Amino acid sequence: MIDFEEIYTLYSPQVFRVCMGYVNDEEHAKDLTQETFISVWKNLPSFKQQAKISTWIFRIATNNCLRALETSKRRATSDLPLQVTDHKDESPDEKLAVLYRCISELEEVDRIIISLVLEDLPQADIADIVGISAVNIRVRIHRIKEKLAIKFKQYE
Amino acid sequence: MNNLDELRQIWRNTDTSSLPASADIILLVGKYRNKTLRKKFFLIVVAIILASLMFGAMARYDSAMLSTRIGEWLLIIAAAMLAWTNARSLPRFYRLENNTNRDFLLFLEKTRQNQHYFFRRTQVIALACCSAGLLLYMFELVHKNTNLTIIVYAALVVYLLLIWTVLRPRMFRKQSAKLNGLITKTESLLNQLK
Repeated sequence: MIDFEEIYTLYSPQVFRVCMGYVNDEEHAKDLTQETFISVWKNLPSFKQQAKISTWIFRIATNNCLRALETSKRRATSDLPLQVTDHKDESPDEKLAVLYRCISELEEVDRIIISLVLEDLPQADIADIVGISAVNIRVRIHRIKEKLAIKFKQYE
Repeated sequence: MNNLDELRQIWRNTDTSSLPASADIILLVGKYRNKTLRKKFFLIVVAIILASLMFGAMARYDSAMLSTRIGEWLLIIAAAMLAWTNARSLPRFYRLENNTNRDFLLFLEKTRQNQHYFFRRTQVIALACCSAGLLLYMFELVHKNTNLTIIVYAALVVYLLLIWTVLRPRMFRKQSAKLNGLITKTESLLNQLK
């Protein structure tokens, strides 16, 4: 039997970061993380160990993110708080704010893919979560990296 | 900040200390489900009670007029439609989001289209049954007194006109705009997966 507390301790920071990558809003990301683990807790007894638990949890989390468009409108990119300065010697917090901002400017599915890449998930698992082929995922990751590189330059 | 490893390092700097404890999540489970489903269950229970009361009235009072019988059946049909459509949407709330993002979005799109159909067709039919049923059912009760008939029917017509010409169009516009927005958004997300 898998222990919920153990799962929560292990995966909640990861799920929170993925949700942050999607919504770029701390409170909203916390709500999404909470909803994800409520689903996990309710369905843990019926979870069959044929699938990896991480894939199962990230599927729930990313689908929650996709459904978030029903419950609240994402703040327009232009309204996002820009807490970064224009100089190159940025603090870790500033770098993180730039990273989240750049990710938030991507298309929704790209945000999910890059967040899962940054969580170090294998490409096969990402393909399994998103529902597109592993080859397609590889191409998408390459394109997302290019898009991000352009965005980073804008903030340098 | 172009290197993936460097990005990962920055990414992991995210402060997650404010996340609630696992025990708090377990405490929230019951509350969350109740809140989401309360309204749906309430509507189903109300519809079943209304239909049962109508069946009770049919058994208890032997109506002399055919209009009353037709009215009773129309009201029962309206209540049954309300209960059925709400009960049919319940699995959506119990469905675990353990699908791929693509399957989940397809499911959302289908659900939204069903809801759109409900607002455009099913709700109109149910409301028409309810209105006609009410008008027919009341006739036997008041027809012996002309003044009472005029007052009751004037009130009923005003009430039904208000529902059909003000409340429903307003609700329809609001719901329709919301659902169209959601369908468009879901389609755009599905396009991103092509």
